[in-house]
Amino acid sequence: MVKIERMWTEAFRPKTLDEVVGQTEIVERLKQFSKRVDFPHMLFSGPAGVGKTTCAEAIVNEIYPPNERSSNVKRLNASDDRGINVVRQDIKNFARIIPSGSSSYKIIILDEADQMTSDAQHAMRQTMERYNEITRFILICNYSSRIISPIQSRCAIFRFSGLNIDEIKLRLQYIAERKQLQIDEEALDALYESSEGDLRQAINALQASASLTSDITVDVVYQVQGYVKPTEVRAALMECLEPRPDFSAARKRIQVLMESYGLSGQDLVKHLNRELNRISDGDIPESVRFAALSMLSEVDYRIATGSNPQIQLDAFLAKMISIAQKQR
Amino acid sequence: MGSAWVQKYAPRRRSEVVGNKESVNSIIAYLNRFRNPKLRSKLVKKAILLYGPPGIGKTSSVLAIAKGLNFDVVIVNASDNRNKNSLQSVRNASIFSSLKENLDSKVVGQILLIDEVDGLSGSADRGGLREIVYIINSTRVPLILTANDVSPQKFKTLRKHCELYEFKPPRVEEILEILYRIIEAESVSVSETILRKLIEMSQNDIRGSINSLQILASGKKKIVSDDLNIISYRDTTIDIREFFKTLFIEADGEKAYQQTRLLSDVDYSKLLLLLRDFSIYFLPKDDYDKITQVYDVLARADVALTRSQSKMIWSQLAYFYSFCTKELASIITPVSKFPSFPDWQLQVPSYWITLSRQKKGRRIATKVGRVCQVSSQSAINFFLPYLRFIFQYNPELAAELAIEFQFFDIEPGKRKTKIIWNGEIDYFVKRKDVNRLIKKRIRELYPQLERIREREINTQILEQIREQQRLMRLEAQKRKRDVSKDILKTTNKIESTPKIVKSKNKKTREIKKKKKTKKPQVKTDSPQEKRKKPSSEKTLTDFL
Repeated sequence: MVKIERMWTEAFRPKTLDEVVGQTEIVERLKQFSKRVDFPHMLFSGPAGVGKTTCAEAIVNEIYPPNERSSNVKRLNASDDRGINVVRQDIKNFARIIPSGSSSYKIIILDEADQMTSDAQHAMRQTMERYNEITRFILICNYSSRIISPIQSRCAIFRFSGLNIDEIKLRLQYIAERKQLQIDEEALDALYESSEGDLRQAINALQASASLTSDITVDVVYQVQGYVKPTEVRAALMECLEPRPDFSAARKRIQVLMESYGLSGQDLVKHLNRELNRISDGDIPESVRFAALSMLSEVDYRIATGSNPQIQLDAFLAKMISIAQKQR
Repeated sequence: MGSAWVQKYAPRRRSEVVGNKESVNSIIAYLNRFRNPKLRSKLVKKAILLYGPPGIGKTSSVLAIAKGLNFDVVIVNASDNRNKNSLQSVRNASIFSSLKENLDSKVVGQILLIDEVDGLSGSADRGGLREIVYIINSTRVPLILTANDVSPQKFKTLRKHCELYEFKPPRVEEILEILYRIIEAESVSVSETILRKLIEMSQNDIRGSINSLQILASGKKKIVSDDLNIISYRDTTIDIREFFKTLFIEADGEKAYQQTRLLSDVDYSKLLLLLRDFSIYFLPKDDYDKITQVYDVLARADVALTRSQSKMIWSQLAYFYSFCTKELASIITPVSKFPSFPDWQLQVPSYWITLSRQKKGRRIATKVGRVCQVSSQSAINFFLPYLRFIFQYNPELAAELAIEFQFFDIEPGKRKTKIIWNGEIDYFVKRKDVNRLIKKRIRELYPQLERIREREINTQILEQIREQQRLMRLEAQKRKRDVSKDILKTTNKIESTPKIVKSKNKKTREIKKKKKTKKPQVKTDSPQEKRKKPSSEKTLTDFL
């Protein structure tokens, strides 16, 4: 029989709360909830890759037998349309149906709920209240501040924190064992370093490394990271800051980022902002940094209001070059 | 003022047709061959296609010749509907109308003239081109087509089925002759310089210059050079190359500003994007101030354009145009001639290409996101980079992941299923050999995968049926015994039955839990419980 390999983030997603790595206090509370088979609406907030979705799925697994899951659980993540119409129709219609099978309520999981418009969130308020008896919401978000306060007040809020080095290494080691990989301590450290507490990225990096060799050393990890991290953003900025800047080369790099990484204009502005703040003082004079940031804020606004990202970023790069040149 | 001069002074005889002697003779030769049954059967291509810029006598020549040879002309032009159906009736007419030949002694036959075939609308005239080819193949009357430009790929079949004759713009002297004949007949006095200017402005377009002349002469007997202002560059359109010449070589911002209204082949945003692409060629590489100024102007033009279109503040368009022309011209250093552009002919803004690649990336990200339970945004940031790495270096694994993400479509055929690639794999791997390896591996894996899936589905259904049967039994037991003590007994029984033991311990624990929570419900017999029962029975009968 063939065994088809899957994404490890999915294949090794914990099925039960016991398996979940880290977040010990939260997991303990959730276990109590699922044992009593009763819990309030919940809001999971925290950075990416720390187990929010996994916990929600684990609760579902613990509460419902397999054959009841599809009819009693509705998942909507950000790749689905979640405009106000979906809230008023799909979510409401699902929320008011009597639960099937042995359970006394249904669960709606809204992943990346902070990306819903506030209109859509307001429309959800009443649904959460009225069908409280038979439907529970689990909202998942990165920033709870972007969830309107009436909804926050209806939820028990759980703040997930980034995973620490031991927790991430523990899970990586577990996967490596199951996949019969050789991995040394140094490589594990490197995987943790680059993941910044995001287990999902660490597992992805592990799988990418394992696609090269089953004997994973720190060099392999670096090779993957060198390929994966968009170094183009930094490179584009450095192209502008050099003594002999090259405008064409800089904008070519931006174009590559948009094309092959699929980054949108606003994504790019976000990356540029982060890199601008990270470039060391030796490479960029303070005054240039601040001038560039204020320009970037203008570019960000223009793109957000519908201007063409390519033309606006061209202007940004050109201006940065001439400011840096004047400094010399 | 009477009728339009263009019609009033259209050529009536072949001798009045100006220029393009060879092509005109070819039309006559074609008609003669078509009339002679012996020669007609030898015609390899049954239609002729006349092409050339507008207003230089393609249609007029045909009409003049037809009149001279006593042909009737049936014209199908752009004002007619030219979709598949309406052209089919034309085709029928073209097959049967040859019968009419003998009815009128003077008329010797009919000509079908399909004017401006390149003006066929892509959406409204769907299927039109193909139908025209049918007409060519089946026609029994001479068929003449005209067009401005048949070089695009979509006219390839048409070119193959027709004899092609090019019409070139006549010389200035030849047009002058015509104009002189007209002003004589209309008794208007115009100097030769003005006439020459008129011809130049219309780019040697006979129709255009006659129209301009008529406008200038309306209500006047003498035309002076000041009158020319009212028709400045009227009726002519310019292409983007012309516009760039004004802007970058002549650096005449004012003229370029006037020309923006005449640009026929680009809209606002395309104009801006092309300026963005090409401006860099007209800037000294190390004059950073100039580069900054130019791109700042373009950025402001972009903002003005956005405001005008998304907020419908149309007054902003004026600023857009003046940024793009006057201000831009004031900054750039004029060049003596165009640098050689890599893709002058294509004239597709590079941003459009970027956008289409970006869209493909988003589509793929959505697919990945669905499997990995993240938004397409997160998929782009957290998954696609790693996937790109895996696809690059491990074709075996890549093939398996491609199956999981459904990076291809399956079309079940009679003998074997067909796999349709949608370009997702090409998006990740540019190297052809790796790409081929991945696809080969997927083809190998897929049949095996199909079998596994079938088995999985079968076992799933079996399990569901068993589960339903178990529930039924429980319900029946519940109905018999209504005391809580008895329910406890049944759970003990269940634990001892072999079926449950087979399944995991966890499951039995769950069942216990459920039984306990259900206890009060059984007692009170809540309305929820009542509604639930029939539903489970119904699904059971469905299964059995």
